[in-house]
Amino acid sequence: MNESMSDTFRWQGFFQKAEQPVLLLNRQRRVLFVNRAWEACTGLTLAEVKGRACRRRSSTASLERDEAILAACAPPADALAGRPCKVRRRVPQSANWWEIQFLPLMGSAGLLGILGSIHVLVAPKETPPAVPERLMALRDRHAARHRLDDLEPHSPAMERLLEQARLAAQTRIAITIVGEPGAGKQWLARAIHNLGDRRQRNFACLDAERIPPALLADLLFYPIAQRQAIGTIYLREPSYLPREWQARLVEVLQRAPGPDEPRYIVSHHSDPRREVQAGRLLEELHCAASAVTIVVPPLRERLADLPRLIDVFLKRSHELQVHAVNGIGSEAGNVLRTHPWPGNLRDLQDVLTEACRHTKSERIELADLPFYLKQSTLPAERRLPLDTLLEQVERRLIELALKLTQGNQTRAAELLDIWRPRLMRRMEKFGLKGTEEQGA
Amino acid sequence: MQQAQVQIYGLEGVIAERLRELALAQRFWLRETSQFAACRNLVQTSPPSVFVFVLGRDVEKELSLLEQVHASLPGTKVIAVGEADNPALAGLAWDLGAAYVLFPPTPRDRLVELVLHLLPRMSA
Amino acid sequence: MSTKRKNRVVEPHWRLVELPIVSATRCTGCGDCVAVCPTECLAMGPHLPWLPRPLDCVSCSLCVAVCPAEALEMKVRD
Repeated sequence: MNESMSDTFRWQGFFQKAEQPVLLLNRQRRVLFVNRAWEACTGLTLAEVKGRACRRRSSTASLERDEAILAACAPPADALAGRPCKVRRRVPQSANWWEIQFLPLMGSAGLLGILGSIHVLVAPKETPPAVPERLMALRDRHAARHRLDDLEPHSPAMERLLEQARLAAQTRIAITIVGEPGAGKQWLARAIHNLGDRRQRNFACLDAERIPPALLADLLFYPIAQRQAIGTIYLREPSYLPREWQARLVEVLQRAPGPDEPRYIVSHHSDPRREVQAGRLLEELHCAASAVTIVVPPLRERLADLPRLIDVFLKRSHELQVHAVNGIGSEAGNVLRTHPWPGNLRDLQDVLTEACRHTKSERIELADLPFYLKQSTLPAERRLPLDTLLEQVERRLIELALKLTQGNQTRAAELLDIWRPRLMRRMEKFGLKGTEEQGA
Repeated sequence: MQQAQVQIYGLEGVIAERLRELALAQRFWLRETSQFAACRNLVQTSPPSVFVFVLGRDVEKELSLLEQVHASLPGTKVIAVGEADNPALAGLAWDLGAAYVLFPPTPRDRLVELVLHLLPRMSA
Repeated sequence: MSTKRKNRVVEPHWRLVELPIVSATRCTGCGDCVAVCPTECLAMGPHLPWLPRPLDCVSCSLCVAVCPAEALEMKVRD
């Protein structure tokens, strides 16, 4: 054995002693070497994988086990670009996860190869601790606000909605809910969850439009959701997710959920097909999530529900306010019935809550409703006397500066960015007094 | 009048200081409460845009308030923060309507970014 | 102008400044208050004005003065 071969032998021997699974890929991402720990971790031998490529696949659902494992070991774009990085990958056919660190090895002509080491994250075997009984009552109270049986099939659209919702409650497939903002999509998602066999597990609403993507990833792709006993993930506006994550979500949705994994309900406030056409939503994601698509009609198309909704919102308003409001006067009721409600249920709830704060009696009358609902006569145009208004503003600012400086005129003048003599002249004009000066 | 207002309950130390700095930079009103009764009263009388509370001093009252806010103040986004890894409690906070539940192992310093994203935005 | 107390940076005028509040029953949504605000702390919502930057309000009350519906008043923050 010459010197270079004995060097190689020692390096392989070095890696064989490591307890961590290690793999070495060439620049084409083909396997050069894996150690015994990797073989034990994956159940595959070096002979079986040497020379084979580790590349990501759009879907691992149909792959053989060895292909799926090689795909799980594929270096991400960052590593191929020469940057050390870390990823988490689902272990094929297992509840476990791998955290793989990739170290690119660079030569004079660019990427030589990539060294990877695997840390196995074991999913907790224990079931989540039971919720204390007194807190169960809270869950029940919350669930009682979201019952499908409270909806009445006033129209064909509502009948269809109820039928689809009941069907969705019986399965764990991913579904889509579409409806205008404020129409009640989250309410419906919760009602479906509460009717299903996963209702003892938790419901989590994730807003992809508002929440930073990295914080969503924790629940969408890692075992945190299982640990927290999330039975349903309600994902609002998935078009806002980065494309790469939409692709990862496709993989998740295409896999049948394990017993402890959440089912997904996705919602859009505009037509998802338009989102696909505009390039904001991956078509594969829309397909994977829309075995059932439920359309929630806007409030203006379900006005028969208005009396029930008014009752619900008045009661809820009372929970947070001392003043109980029991009903609506007839004029006010007419206004509520004839308004188109572009903001749907959310708008109705805001109007009623504000009206409850305003009213002094047990009923909401016309005077308690916002101006824009009543379309009363506009007030007469008022004059804007410039000099008077400017003086008014000047006086207010001087008063504020004196308040902030406890009457100290020197500091007040500094605050107002004017000379002190000017401040004193204006104070005299307005009849304002400061404190005695303590010195300059 | 609706105003950009963040109310915090039970937050102290570095993270509270960072939120104060964020409030000054973004010009929103940060209201701090350390007693539960005062906190509840303030949420009712002057509903905040974002309500951040540390979950764990009196779990039943805190979760009850979360549940009521979710039902009665849909414009208020609630962030429940946990001090120790407690998946059962975190899961329950999600269930009762939190916009986000920030428990270990997720680092607490993500809170500042979260608050910034959940503040009401100017329309065009 | 700020003071440091026990590592806390606070704006001392916070408790002294009055903020505008709007009466939804009177506000016509004309937006004049937003237009005249010298610190641009007000903005127009779908129906009513709101305060995206309450810390910028200097309580000059110009918004109150120009409102044609007398829908605004200044109040100390509680």
